[in-house]
Amino acid sequence: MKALRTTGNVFIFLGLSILFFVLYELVGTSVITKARQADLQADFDAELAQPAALNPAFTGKLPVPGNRRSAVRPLARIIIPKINVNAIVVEGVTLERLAYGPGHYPKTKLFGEKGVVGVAGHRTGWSAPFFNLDRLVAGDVVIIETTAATYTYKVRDTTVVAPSHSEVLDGNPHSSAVQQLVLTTCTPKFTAKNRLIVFTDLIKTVPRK
Amino acid sequence: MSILSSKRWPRIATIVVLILGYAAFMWFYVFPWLDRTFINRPALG
Repeated sequence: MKALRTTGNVFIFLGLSILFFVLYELVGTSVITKARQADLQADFDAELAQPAALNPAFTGKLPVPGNRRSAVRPLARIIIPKINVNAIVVEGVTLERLAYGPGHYPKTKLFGEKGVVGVAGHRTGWSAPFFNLDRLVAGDVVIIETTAATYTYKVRDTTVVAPSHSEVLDGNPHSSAVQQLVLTTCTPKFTAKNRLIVFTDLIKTVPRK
Repeated sequence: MSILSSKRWPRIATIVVLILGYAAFMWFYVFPWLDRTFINRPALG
């Protein structure tokens, strides 16, 4: 009888530990990222408000405002209307950087340059900016706002690859677009088994005025 | 009133410290490891 009670207590303990992990994964990490994103959004708005950003001849390299709130500099704002994404992109795709928000692959081009721009984002926890990325289909729009311009991309197609298939960052083999944006995240949801890839083509650039 | 007896407090305090210590260890060490190992690695390569 005592053994049965002990076994029951062990299972209750394990169950509570698993619930605690779910709480950490879905709530705890997101609280951290949302606070960081709020700081990044404020910093990015401050950068956009600088007079240099309003100069038509501006090339996109602004001095860093002195009163920044975030430890990491904002790179761009990504907006995906269909899945209600509005997040600040930071430089780098290490897990430390992705805890701030979607990250730009350093080995890929920057927004506005010819070639392929890669952006990775979490799909579970850490505010999960790309949680619904699988809902994007051909024709959907992805908007990137930088201090230099606003870029509008259109989804061309999506695919799923193994984590090691980094050649997708070379661009969509079915696209001839000179400027492409590739979004990556984990798939299926709640695992790191594979990567969901969304290929988009640049369709419009509007310089900031 | 028995819960307030002086003999019970050390035991209650020990249990509370153990629970908080376990929670902190899981939150700051075990859960981040589980997260980055099995759940979240959205970057390629």
